[in-house]
Amino acid sequence: MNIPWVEKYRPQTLDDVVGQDQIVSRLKRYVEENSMPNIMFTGSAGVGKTTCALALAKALLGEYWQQNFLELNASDARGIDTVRNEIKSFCKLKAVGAPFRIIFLDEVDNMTKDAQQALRREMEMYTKTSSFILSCNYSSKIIDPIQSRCAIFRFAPIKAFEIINRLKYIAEQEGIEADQTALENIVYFTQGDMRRSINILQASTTDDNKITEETVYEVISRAKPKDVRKIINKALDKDFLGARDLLRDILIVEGISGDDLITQLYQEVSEMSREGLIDEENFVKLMEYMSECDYRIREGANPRLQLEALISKFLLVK
Amino acid sequence: MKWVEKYSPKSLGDVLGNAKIKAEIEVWANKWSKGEPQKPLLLMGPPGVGKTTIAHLIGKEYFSETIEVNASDKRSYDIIKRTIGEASKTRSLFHEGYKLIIMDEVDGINGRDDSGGVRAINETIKNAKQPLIMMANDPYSKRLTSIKTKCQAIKFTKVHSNTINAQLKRICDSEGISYDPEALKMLSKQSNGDLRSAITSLEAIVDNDKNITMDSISVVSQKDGEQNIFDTVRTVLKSKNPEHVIEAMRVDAQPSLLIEFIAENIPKEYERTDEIAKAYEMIALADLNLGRAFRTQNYVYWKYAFLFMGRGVAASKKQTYKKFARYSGSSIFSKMSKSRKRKNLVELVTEKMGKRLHTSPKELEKHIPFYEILFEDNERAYDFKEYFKLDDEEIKLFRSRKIPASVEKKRIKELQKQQELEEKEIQKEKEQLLKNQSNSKKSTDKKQSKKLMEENSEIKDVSNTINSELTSSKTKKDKKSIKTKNKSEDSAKIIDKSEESVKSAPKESENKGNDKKESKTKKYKQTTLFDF
Repeated sequence: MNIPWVEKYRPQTLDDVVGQDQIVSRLKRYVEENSMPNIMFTGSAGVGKTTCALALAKALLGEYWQQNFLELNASDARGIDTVRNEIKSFCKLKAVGAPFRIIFLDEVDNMTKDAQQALRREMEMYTKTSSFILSCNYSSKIIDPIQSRCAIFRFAPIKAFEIINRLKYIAEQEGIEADQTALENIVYFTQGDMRRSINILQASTTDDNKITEETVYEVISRAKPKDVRKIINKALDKDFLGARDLLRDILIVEGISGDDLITQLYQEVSEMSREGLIDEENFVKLMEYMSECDYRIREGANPRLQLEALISKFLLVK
Repeated sequence: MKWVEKYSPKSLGDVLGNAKIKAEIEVWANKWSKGEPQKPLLLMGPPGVGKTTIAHLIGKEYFSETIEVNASDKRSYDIIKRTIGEASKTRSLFHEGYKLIIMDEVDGINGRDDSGGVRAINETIKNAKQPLIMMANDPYSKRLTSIKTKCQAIKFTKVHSNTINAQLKRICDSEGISYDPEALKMLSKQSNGDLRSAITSLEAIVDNDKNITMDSISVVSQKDGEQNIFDTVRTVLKSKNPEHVIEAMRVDAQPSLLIEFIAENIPKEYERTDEIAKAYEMIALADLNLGRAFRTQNYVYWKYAFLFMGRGVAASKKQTYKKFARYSGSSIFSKMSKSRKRKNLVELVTEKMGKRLHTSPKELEKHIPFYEILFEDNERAYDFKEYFKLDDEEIKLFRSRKIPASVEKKRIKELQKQQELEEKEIQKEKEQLLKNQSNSKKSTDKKQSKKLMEENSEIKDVSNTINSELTSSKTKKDKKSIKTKNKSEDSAKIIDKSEESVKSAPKESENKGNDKKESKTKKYKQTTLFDF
């Protein structure tokens, strides 16, 4: 039976979690003490937030963890009604077979302000029966009252060698011959994102169980928006309308997210500077705009308008 | 007398536009007057197209009396019940025939001040023995949903500008006004299908000499609407005069829409690259402030947003352009509608996958290219399809080819075999357990019951992996039986029982499925071992 390796090789215990040593040792203390405060995990995608939450819940709740654990991610309805009804009724009940109950809310930064407000009350009302684990990409999008009720753990991107070791372990388990350089290429591309790394690993495996530089390259290039260089070139040629149209195609029709695209733009512009296509003065200027644009997108501005503005700056490069 | 009243139609025959609808309403009224009760009418449409006019004319021509309740009256539960409720239950004293009740602007019933208003209307509809006509502007109003189903809903459309133009000419002729035909045409167009506002405007612009020219048109501002956004865009991009820009920015439009329209047309008006870059910087700043306002729910930031997208963009040009630029609506809307179908599919699929992978749909969307590759292999595609519980339509997101039926059959067989092997192993484990059980027969009652509980939970684990939903209720029943039968000999029977329930689960699903093949896949679905 084929199942996605991301799930097949998800660490089940805190001991197995890759990276995040300090956070894990702190979480283990909670297990020893058999209690935990409300916790918030923040960090980019694929660094182990959900894995830690699941492993912690299993360790704390023991055999009957599934009955005492509620997981709600962004695909579940999480409006104010859910917070007021579903979560509340779950919190109210005393845990059976476990010291308390745990509610795990993924992507809290995408919950509405109203829902967050309602949540804040419940977090303090049911401290005796339940604890919360919240997870988000950017803690800046979460209302202060919630942040002040949580112990906040910031997850850093996982270190390259740790990911490579994990990939090697998986390859071994699956009986796959993997090139060292191929694995290094994966890790260079994914920038500390374990989920992405494992998905690329599984996608680059050939029928005869091999992973080479070429197969990895093929997979990565398919995941990259192809037209990023074209956008830049059009803008440098002063064809703003053309560049903008391409940009909109990528964002709207292809559905690439704003922060993905800005990462691509960053890599592409860096590459062009290395190739000598953009001189140093202009490169630094562009990066100045880009950093601001990146920050604004993460802060919650409209990514498309911000990126269109960024593209317009390429017109000024002489 | 105002022209709107003076030239309002005196009979149904005079009513302009919406001819089909008129006929439909007359049929309704005719049946009432013959004594056949009809569902209430709900007339929906933009203002100024003749909803109220038609309702009153119907009252005049087909019924003895008309009672009207409109938005100027308070419309709480009690008041509606009193005025309409009573009237609707009684017949007219002085006249024969029915009383027509007209309720204007039912979508404008205020949630707080008109408490229970919608409920009162619903009750009135139920009990009414009188004809009732209701009117609403917004057909999608939430307040209407409960009412709509109980009514005969009729949608009015805008009056065509040619029809409006003709009526304006008629009025001018009978008032003895000389006019520029172009001016009247412009006025008809500007009214945007609202006959009433066209006539009101006409009356407002006639000067003392009974003359209408193109100049006089510029006095009346056209009704706010989408066309007006382009005027704002034009002023922002053409003018360097801050006062004109401030004036133009007073348009009644959503700032998020306005910013799109201005941004869209910047490169169509501005030619110098530094102007475009500067103007877009202003757009980005405006957007930043809109985002802040939205996020903090503090709308003080709006004034900065308006300032940057208006005066900021206007001030970004070095000189004004004396050219004709064709402005357009933003291309993002057409692009969005194009991508909507795919988006819906993406949402549906990533949601299902998210449940399995403990991952947010938004994050999963970024992984679609990888899954496209993983779905290339037929067998793996089938396994993944089952793992994520996707249907044939949904896997089209990853692969255009269907999974060959032969692969499906082969896979089902293989997995069944695998599953049988696993079942045998489970059987062995149970036998092992039973042996241990009989060895420890001579223990105290407490210990026994504890052990029973433990075993029960193990049975539960086993059955959980095989079928969590169906058997969990049954093992609960077994738990009960454990409590009643305390003797350890019974434990064997209990285990047998729960085994039975495990086995019976797939059988049940077979009975349910009509299609043989379907039941097969169902059986397989329920019995695969996915533990996470």
